[in-house]
Amino acid sequence: MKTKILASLASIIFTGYVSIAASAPPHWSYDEEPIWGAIEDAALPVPLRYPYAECGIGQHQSPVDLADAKIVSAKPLNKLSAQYKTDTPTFFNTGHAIQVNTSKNFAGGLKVGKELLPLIQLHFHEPSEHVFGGKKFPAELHFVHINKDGRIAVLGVVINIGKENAVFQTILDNMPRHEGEANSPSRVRFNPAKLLPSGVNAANLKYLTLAGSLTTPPCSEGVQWYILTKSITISADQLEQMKSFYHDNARSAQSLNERSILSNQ
Amino acid sequence: MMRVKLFLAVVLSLSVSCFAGSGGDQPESLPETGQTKNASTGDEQPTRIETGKKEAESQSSQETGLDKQSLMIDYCRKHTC
Repeated sequence: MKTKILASLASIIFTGYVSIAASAPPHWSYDEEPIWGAIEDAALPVPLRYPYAECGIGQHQSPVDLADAKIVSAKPLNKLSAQYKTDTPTFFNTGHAIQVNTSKNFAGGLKVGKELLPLIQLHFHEPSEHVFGGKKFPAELHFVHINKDGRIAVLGVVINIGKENAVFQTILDNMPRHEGEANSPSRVRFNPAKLLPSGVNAANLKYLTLAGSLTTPPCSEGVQWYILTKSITISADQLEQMKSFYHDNARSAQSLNERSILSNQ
Repeated sequence: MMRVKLFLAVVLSLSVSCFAGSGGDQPESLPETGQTKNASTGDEQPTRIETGKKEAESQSSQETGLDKQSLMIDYCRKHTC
């Protein structure tokens, strides 16, 4: 009950915060991670004055250490299908990560059971945010989807060092160098599906799932996470190129607080 | 750090009180009163009004959903999310 009240309150605070201050949220950095919850926006009244409070007090925060939980595979879970199509996206340097925004009429998305959640953007973290037994992967890719009710579902894919990734190189080559800059080259055709692990069946993905949050302030909860059990690769040189934009842009693993991780394998 | 946590807890407690207060003032029996009136007068008009209200609420809730979706999409295009 307490969790529900806090979740409702946090949702109200976040919606209010997004409505009022979407254009100018208070600055945050990864160095400040331990105090994200206490960052103030003095221009706003209480309780909106602490727009990132959920980062400090949330009980279902992301990322997590996947090895900390008992993975339950008995329950029948929704079929997960990545139905991404070729797009002419915008390459956007957010100031915290390199990001690719899909075009406004992009029809592809993640089908969870019978519901298709449109893909809005994808971005990268270095090193990975989700860890396994404390082990971090070199990087992590997040596909962000938002359904008609405003609910977020993120498909996470961990990245290992290996064979060069041509699609990732397209992202690096078109990413603006400066924070807040966007690049929408009309000649670049990009299919997010090509960033999925090779050999997986995109129509029936194998995944781990849990309830979590955004991994960046305001750390809003109510985000459903789907983490693929297979990784993708980029080359060591590509990792260095990525780090020349942003490095150490990964939140540390958060407490599971009795959450279960479900698996469809 | 402990002080910050305590302060946030106080702020949230106040917020929860306000939130609960605003919801708690709504009399729970209102819809029942409406139904009782319908039964006693035999007038179908209020039922239509109620149905209309429900449709309006449903439409409003869909619109709210769409608003929330557009807000979230706008936010997530501008921020890492």
